[in-house]
Amino acid sequence: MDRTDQWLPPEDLLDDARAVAGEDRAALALVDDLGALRAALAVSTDELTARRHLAAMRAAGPVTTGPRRRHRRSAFTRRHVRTAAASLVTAATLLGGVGVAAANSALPAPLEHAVAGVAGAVGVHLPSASTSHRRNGGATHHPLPPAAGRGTGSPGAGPSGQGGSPSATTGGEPGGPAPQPGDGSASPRLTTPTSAPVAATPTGPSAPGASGSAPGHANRPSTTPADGGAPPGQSKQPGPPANPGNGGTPPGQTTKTTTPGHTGAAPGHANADASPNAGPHGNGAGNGRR
Amino acid sequence: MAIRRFVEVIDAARRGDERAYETLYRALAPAVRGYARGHGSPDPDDVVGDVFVAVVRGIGRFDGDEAAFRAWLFTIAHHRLVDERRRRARRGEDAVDPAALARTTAHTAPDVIATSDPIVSDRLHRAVASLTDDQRDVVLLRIVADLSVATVAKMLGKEEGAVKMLQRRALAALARELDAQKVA
Repeated sequence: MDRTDQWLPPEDLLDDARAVAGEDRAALALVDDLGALRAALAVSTDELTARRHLAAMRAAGPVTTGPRRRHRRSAFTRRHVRTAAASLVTAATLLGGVGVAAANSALPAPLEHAVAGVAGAVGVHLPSASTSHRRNGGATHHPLPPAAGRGTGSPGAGPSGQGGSPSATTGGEPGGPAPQPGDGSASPRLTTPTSAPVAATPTGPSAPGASGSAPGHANRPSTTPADGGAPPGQSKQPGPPANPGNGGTPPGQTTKTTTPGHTGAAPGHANADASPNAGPHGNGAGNGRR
Repeated sequence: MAIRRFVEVIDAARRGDERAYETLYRALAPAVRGYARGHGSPDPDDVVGDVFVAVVRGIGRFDGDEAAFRAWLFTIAHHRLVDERRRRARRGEDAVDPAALARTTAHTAPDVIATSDPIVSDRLHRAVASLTDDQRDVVLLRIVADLSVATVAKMLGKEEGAVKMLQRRALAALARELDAQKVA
């Protein structure tokens, strides 16, 4: 029990008590009664009630005392957050799927290029581009214009002598069976129609480096113009990596070369395969389809 | 009851510190309860709870020393009791006889039984009940709440002289009542 502290009546109250009681003894008795009244009234509540009151005070107080109240977002906000999260996940999944599909060359070429362009714009290099190039005979990013490539591979093209379809790489094994003279290694199907007349024009040593040939291969004059290339089994000096499809492919092997994965000769080996009688489309690198 | 390091306690209470709440409550709740009991409130504990909840809600706006805090606290209690008195008047209820309330409380509250003589309490409560409302306000605010004449005058909206007059008349009435009880 908490009685109030010892009460000391204020002076003005003592003066009033003396004035009322008339004598000090009666005044002191009155003051004692007032003290008793105070003591009788001002008593503490029981502990249970006090705890209930303190709990009510805590509930009414500010929220700075601890994590009693945790701010929660409204239902409206929570719904929007969920919607935004679902949209983000969907968009990320879609973009990732498209990217993976493009990387696997599972998309149509235009769409694949579009994806590659978008990815390149954001600094992501998709391997789909190179895959696509190989599939397309590397024509997309070929440094030379298509017309330049067409002039190569003339029948019996001496210096270059690099027949081959745009993707013909496997053919022309050194020491292999010599192709028929004038038989371009490239299959006619793979050449553009416009290349035929141009290819018919023989290019001799005076015109070394038939355009369209790979660097390091085409401009090397052949010692035997008729052969137009190194003898079988004697490859030319390997130069820088040849463009895919630079190798002279014997007839009969060119049809397979259109398959992606078989395109492109190994760098520096292309001309080794060039048969002396490289066909009219010998250097048609990259022109097979386009 | 003085509050040690009052300024720090008030600052902590403004920040929502629960210990500060308890310090203020333990120091001042008995006086508030006594004030409510002296006014014949049927549920003085309810008054105490309401007053301290109101204090917590408004303590951010309070600025002053301990005397000012006591004045503010008992102003809240006074308004609460005035509202209660008006409600009872509208409903045609009579105020609880302080003497009867004292007897009831003495029989139900262990702390009162342990500390107060029921006979003395009954006599004192009856004496307080004989006062007018204004006289009772002044006496209780001076004796139970320990407020100065100036503070009581400001709180009740009266002049200090009027408060002193009410106080003197109240003491005279109490003396007469107590003498009459002794004679009886």
